[in-house]
Amino acid sequence: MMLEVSDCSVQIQQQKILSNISFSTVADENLSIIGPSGAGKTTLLRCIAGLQKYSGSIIIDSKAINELPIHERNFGFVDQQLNLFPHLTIYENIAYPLRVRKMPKGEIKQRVSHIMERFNILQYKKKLPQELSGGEQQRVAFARTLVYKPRLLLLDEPFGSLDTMLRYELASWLREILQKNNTLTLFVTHDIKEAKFFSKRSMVLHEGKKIGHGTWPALETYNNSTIQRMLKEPF
Amino acid sequence: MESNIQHSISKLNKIAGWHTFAILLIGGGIVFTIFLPLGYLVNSAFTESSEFIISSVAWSRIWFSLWQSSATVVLSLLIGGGLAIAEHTYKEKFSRWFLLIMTLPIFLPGVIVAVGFIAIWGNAGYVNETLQSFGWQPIKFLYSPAAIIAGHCFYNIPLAYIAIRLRLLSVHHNLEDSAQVLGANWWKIFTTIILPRLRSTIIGIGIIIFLYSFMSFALPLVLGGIEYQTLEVYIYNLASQQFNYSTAALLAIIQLISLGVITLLSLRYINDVQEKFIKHQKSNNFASNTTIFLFVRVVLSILIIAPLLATVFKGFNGNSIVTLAESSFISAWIRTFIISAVTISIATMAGLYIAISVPKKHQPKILLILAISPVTLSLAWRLLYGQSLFFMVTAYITLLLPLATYVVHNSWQARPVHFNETLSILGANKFQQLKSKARLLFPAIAQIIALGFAFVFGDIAVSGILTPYQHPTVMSLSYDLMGSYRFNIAATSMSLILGSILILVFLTFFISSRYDARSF
Repeated sequence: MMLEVSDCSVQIQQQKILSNISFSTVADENLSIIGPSGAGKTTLLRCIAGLQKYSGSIIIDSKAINELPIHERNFGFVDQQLNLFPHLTIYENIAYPLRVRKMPKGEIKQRVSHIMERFNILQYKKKLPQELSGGEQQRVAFARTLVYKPRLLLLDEPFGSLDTMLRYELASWLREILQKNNTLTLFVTHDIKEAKFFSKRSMVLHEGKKIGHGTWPALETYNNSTIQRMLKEPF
Repeated sequence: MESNIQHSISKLNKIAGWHTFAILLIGGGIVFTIFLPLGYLVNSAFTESSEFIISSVAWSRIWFSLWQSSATVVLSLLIGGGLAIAEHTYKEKFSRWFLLIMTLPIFLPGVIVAVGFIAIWGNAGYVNETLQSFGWQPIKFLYSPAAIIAGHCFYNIPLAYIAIRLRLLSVHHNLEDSAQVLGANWWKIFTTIILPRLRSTIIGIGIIIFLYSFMSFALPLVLGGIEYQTLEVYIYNLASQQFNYSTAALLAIIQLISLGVITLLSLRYINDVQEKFIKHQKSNNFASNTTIFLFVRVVLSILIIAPLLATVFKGFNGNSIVTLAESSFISAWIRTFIISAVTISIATMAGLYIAISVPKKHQPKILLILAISPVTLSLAWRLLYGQSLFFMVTAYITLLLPLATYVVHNSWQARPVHFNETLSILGANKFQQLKSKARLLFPAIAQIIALGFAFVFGDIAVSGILTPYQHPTVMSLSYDLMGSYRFNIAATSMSLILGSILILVFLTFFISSRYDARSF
């Protein structure tokens, strides 16, 4: 499984948000995208998901997906807000992507129960999202995204709203699951420790431009003061 | 130490004494303004009525009221709600000028709108004059169910649009984006994400539109003619023209009970709308500006403004203004202004007291008064107390009070956390605290003032039943002019009332914007 992005650019009202971003990544490296606020990280993920208009091309497994409708891309997207549906129970939230894919009821029940058990949230199946804690909601969001086995997982600071302890607990748990599933993942964060913990390679964005891309040791040798400052200081 | 305790006890006694007085005043007020008159109405209906069985004419009026209200609900939700949902789905930028125009009908009296419809669609209206100038047949639109439904839609399409659009503005689009990424197509998103989140709003606003159309008086009175009368108009005619009080009372009681049940239902949904999804409120910020939406907005705006312009153009000619100036119009205007001012002052003070002091869970109950139509209340008062200016003002206060309480309640509930405590901690004395609270609630008070002026200046139901003949309000005077076939003078008079209302509403909001809480 491979993702290739070429010359991805976004311009909103004369302002360039992203300028000719190109990169490629494969399944086992969990590429992280780092950079300060306003660098264009979220915009890049939204372009790949199809939620943001862009120029350039996005290719997954040698097939261009530029014209593919969002609901047919089979991607997963988890961001800081989680976007659990407040009017649906936890079970219904997780079953939602399977229902819209018109899977047989028996299979939906089996897959949802299995993933809820695996994520240790089975006991909450009749509750509403707002009745759960932040960490529990986070696990529900991941369960809902992974239950339909997306071919690309886009994570936009998914642990941003959690405290440090819970953040690393969930990050290590998620890393383990993604490694087992061999899921192609893009991970946006502004936390260098979290990025190093989660990914083997990273891409650095600054003011909408790509200024570095490589393994962590390679990035540390970059002769670029902005990158060096980013790697040393929190954003 | 002991003196401190004694001071505190006397302070508590003072507070308890004031509250007891206020509760007795409000309780006594409710007994005298609602329970006693309604009890008398029931008594009149069941003891004086020799014709206990409702006639077929009354049944036909009930049936007509039901179906025209239902049709209005469906049309308003389809057009107003449909436009709001379409704008949200296509991420259309929210338009403030369009919202302003859609808010306009809230302040427009039914009689003025009806006069506007006559000025456009009547035999001597602009449309038929134009058609006849080309040698074509005139359109018979007035005095039909279609005219009444169109009149009701004039008010309720904007209402449905505003309610649903504002609801959608507070629910972030992220959930729909998320559903799309999860694999849902447009139809699935609409049925599984958008509609369920709007269900409470749609049902709540649907019930309000139904109640409005069922209880509406002025529009069906003018636009329905003799043949198409709603129950409300029929009760009015029974009481004010046929003097058949017992049958009028019986029908009013039946209407009151039915509408009371519907209002109770609507209260459930009004609460539901306020409480649910509160954690997910975030303002959308769309940038799209599509020509098709601009076109639809312009068309709807023309449909709203056209009857008003038609009234003004029909009404403004020199002779009519001179005739009006020579009549009792000016004294009636001054009388109406004083009545409005008294009504608004008392209703606002009572609304403020109830909204701030009465426990939150009991407050929606006051909205039950909305189930009592102006005609029913006025009829009950006329039977019990007779006609007088005093009772007319009291009836206006009773009818404005639920709205005043609801508006202040919503504003007070949205105050900053620990507002009272913060004022005390910062060292504000009682007077300064009261001043700060008043400034916080100023926009709400401005809304009540604006609605109060529009309500009293535009009313003909209460004034038609309770006003003594020698002291007409400006609207009842204008309505009488219509009845005496002096349409142009009536249109002039309506234009002046419309101008008065718009100026008073504008002034209220202008002053409020200068002194609202944001300018602290």
